[in-house]
Amino acid sequence: MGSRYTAYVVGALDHVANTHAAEVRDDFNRPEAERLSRSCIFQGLEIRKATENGDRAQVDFVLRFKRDGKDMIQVELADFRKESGRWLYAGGKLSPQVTQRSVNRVGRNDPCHCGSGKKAKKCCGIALEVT
Amino acid sequence: MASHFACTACGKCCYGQLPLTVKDALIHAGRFPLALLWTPLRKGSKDFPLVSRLGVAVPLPKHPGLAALVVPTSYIPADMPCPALGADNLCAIHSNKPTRCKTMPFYPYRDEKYQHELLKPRKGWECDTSVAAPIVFQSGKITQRDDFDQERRDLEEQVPLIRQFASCLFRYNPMLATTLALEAAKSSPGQIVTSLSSFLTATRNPDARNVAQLQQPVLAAYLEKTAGVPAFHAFHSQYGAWLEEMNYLAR
Repeated sequence: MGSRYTAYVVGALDHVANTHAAEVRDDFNRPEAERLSRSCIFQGLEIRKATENGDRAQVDFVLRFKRDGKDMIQVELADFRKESGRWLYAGGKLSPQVTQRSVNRVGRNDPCHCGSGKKAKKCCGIALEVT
Repeated sequence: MASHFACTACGKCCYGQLPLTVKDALIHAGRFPLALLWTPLRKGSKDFPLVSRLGVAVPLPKHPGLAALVVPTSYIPADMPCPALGADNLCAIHSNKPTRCKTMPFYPYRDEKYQHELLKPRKGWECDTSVAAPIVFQSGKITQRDDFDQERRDLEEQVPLIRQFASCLFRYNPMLATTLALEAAKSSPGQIVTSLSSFLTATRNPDARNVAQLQQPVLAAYLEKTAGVPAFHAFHSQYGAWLEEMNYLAR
């Protein structure tokens, strides 16, 4: 866990990729991780709780970082599995408190994004018109 | 009642973002800066049944009636012309333009019975809707329907791929569902923008490297076009981030 965090901080993303369990490996968006690793300022990893049970473990952690000048926080309960003596990241539950998506505002009176020329509020279901 | 319509090739609808089928987005990856746009829609809206079928259900226990359209899009500012609009104000790729452009102004993301609503030209557009123009819609049906049917078929065929993408993003980004719900609750909901790299990853696209190579010069050009213009700041930084991702994927 700690080594994966360190790998993000120093941009050694091979280590992150190599410590994914099979069920999450192909979901790893390496290009995005590379970019975030370079553009984020990492401010700390706090392990709140870690439990180990045979070849399974769970780590409850808080990750603090700055992105685009904004303080961000990620809270996650991560699952790890031991394979051939190595702990692998097998997924996790993220707490949905970080709103990090870019939102594109089509104003109500702007033309709809579909190119129909209708106002956004009258087209493409942007309008919450109730029948 | 019959609705008449003829395109006069005025070029006025060739501006701003352009929704694409997955197939068209990948075919034209060397032309358009691509992103995935998520438009939330609440149950009760008249387009909800079709959006639920062509799009995805947003997994939120507290908002069971929320769907989203997830659409690959040529993501450019609203007042910027399509890169395929020529100096003569005509489409430079007319013979193989995206199905979205062929179907215009019909829009198969909406139910057929609402399609006549889309025929009314927007201010400044020069569409011919006089009785001299051919009848294109009558008694709730589109009468010239080949392009509409083709685009609708493409949208239906890509549903499994769109859902594969969506379920992957929802799994790793619970905040995505939350943001969609927040937007849906607003009087003018925004669209959520996600990257092409996440789509290529989640759908295991075997051609990702080639697509990335096609996107590189396109994103570089839009990065340049939007530089130093405050109104384009958000676009500019997105193009920069996506270019970095494509640079990595293209190696």
